[in-house]
Amino acid sequence: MVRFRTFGPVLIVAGLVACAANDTDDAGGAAPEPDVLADLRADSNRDGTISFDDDSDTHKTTWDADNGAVFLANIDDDDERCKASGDDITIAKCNDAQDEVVNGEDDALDLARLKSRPWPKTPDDVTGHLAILTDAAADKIRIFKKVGESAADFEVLAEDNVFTAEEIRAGFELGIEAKDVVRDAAEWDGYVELQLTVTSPTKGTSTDVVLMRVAPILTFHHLLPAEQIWVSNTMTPGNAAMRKDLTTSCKAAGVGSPKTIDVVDPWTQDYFEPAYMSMPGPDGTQHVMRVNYRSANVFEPNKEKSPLRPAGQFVFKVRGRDVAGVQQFDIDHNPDMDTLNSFGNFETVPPYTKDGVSYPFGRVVRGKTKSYYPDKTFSKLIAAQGQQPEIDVDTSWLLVAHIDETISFVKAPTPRGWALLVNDAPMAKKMLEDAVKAGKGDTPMFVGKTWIDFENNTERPAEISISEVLADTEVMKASAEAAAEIDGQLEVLKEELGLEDDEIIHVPFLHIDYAGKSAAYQPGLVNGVYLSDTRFGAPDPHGPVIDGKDIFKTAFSEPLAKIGITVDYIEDWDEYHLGIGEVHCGTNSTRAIPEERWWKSGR
Amino acid sequence: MNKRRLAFGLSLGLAVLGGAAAPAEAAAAPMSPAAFRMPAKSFAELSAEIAKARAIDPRAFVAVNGIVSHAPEADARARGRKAPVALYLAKLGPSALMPMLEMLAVDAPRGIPAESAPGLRRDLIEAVGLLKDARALPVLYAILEDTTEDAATVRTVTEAIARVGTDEAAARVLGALDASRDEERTRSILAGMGECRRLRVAEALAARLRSTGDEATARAAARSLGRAGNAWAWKTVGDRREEAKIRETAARALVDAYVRRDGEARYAASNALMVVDAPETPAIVAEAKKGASPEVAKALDKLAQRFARNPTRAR
Repeated sequence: MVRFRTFGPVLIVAGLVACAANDTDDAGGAAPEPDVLADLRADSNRDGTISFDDDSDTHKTTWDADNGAVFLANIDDDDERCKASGDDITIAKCNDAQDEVVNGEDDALDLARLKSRPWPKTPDDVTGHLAILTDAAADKIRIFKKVGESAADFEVLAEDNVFTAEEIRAGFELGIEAKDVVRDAAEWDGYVELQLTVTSPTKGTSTDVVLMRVAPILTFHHLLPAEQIWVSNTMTPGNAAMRKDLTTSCKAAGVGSPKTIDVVDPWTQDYFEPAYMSMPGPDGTQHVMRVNYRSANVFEPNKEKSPLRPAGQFVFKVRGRDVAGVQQFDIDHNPDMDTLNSFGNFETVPPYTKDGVSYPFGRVVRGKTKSYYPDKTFSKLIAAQGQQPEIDVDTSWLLVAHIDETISFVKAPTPRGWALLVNDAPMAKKMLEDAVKAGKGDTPMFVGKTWIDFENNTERPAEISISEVLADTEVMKASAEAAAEIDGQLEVLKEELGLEDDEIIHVPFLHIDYAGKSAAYQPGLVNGVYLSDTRFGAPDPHGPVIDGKDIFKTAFSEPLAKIGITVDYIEDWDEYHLGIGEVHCGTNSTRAIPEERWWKSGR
Repeated sequence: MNKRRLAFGLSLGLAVLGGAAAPAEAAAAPMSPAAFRMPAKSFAELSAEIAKARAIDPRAFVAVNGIVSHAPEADARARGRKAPVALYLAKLGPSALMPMLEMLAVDAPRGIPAESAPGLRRDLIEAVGLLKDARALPVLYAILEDTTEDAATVRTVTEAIARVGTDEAAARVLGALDASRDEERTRSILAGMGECRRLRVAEALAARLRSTGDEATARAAARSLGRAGNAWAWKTVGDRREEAKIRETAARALVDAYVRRDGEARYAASNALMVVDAPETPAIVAEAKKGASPEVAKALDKLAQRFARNPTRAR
């Protein structure tokens, strides 16, 4: 996005001379230095420093891919004073921007800086004033003034603060933070214009303006290296089985053992979404604050103070130094659509370029239609970040309605650099039909699995033959519908992403109908966790074994092996598959911060 | 082997054999039995059937009760907060029918939290329908014909009756549709009707799809027609005498809907056409193009292209 300042001239001459320090006169010679000068600078060229020695930070009223200063929403908890428990409303309020104090050196690092040019000629009768020209930002930001030598010596800048002639002569330093992230671009789009006015009753007035923008929150796409895998520890045998296989897979992938979260909610993917925001740091670095979104799932609408999905409080339990938690929800959102607020229904398409338009951080993809949609206030928050324009597909036909039930992404040695994994029910049906033709119709699948166990020692095995599956009206009906619906999803994705057929890997599994909607009948192989460039953890399909091989494992492993990815099969039947989810639903991943800088995206 | 657990790893340490452990917030009688709306003769016959079933296989009643009593826990742990309890109940097989009908018609499960009761009742209705046993019909009719039932229950019970699929079942569903004066109730009946693979039901769906002015109703009718004509499902059905006519009827109505509607209703019609996969579809689309506006003709070309590579057929 290109943004220009929205008001009049930089320089206002009040009777006497006032001009910028490097102006020249009409004859081309050096203009006399003004007595009164306002020259406020931020890190507009994004090199991590504020320079007065050259022009590098003088493009300060434009915000585009090349210039424009950045600041952070200072919502982490650097000195870890916030409590990790409490009601949903209170717990979310605590962060470093909650008070008017710079809470130590780490907190000071989260402040973007502004400096005024030291101006020794400043007359004694000069006073200075800083104004926030962007009305919408006035109560969204806070400005501090540096008042001492140590890193954290800042005091909040009062609205009526007057800079003295002495301060203006010496030059002063400010720190700026946003008190919150941008939640609704219609209320505040994250930009702020700050104006320094320096006035002398005898020598005139000089003004200067700097345009700044608060850093957006960006979510991670699958291609970024996983740094930490998360999994709920629900203390059940089924959960333990999944964690055991997941641990093995993580080790093979070179990722550390998954960290467990002690909650009863097994759907680790759903209750939080890792993300980050950043601003330029010194020497080409970026100063990063990790952010975890809490899902907008409202589980207890009648509980005024704690209506949200309890496990989501995790984002505030891990809040700390350079780690923030963000929640946004509408208590009145239609509860029938609440499932769409889970982050299994929030994936990030990897980076790509189409028709000359680049998406270096990818795009958010969610299940959302005109009549079936996630929390609108959260959608506004996502849209307001402006970097990963959302793609919406129809997931309303699915019982759980999450996008991770039908698609995923992996690296691939192609010009695009990645491939789309997509569920293909007709492929699954054909595999089974081919087996029947080969005389293998009696081959069982789901061997050793049970649909349900109950207390009178009677077992209801899930084991079923290929022929029986093909004769199941409910499975066939739901699978045909899934084929058409997923084709509709694919049509949108092809259009938006420019995907060609050879960039799509088809993943076979069938569906079943429940309550008029669809769910994976077989463990949904696409619903796995991408652990490293060469490792994908998928649910064990427990498919029919023919000639010593599970034909569904083969059908999934072989195309991935061709692009250098080994699939580990993870046991998830009892805790996850029967609960209408799989491995991806039951895990989450914190990934590496990308090297790309969002401020260069042009958005 | 005694695994001592329910699906989702629910600990049976919490369970009471043969009866529900009553949570603190349990409501007294959250589920409304259908008995009082059933004809006396039907109820007497049902009571006798239930007694007979209990005498023959008391463990079936224990088994159903075991699942039902743990349904709220299963829901709480399921993704989307609704476990497919109906599927688990149906997996118990025909022996589960009378225990479930007893819960629906005579004696509602006890100790079920009020917020879980409606969903559990729908699970019981759906499971009964999946068993496709005509003995369930009097109970299901009583629920369908109660105009105070909520929309989700109306849809579920319509599906259940439709799945049984007898002449009488089809007639009762159509009667309920004709009698409905409430848009949401009508939409729910339409949504459930597609489970009935009978020509007269498909024709009624087609007529409603043509006549409705409401997009949500059109969407529901289109999807339901897709179900009635679902080509994959038909291959599993024993009596396929009406298949060709139903699929053609569905295809004609869906192409018409595709032409006359836009947005989500058009999208639903397109997907349903793929599912029905009627051989007449290309000809119906070609016919629809005659005299169509350029915009509609272009959309029909797109539809024809999609049908030519119908995603329900393996690549």
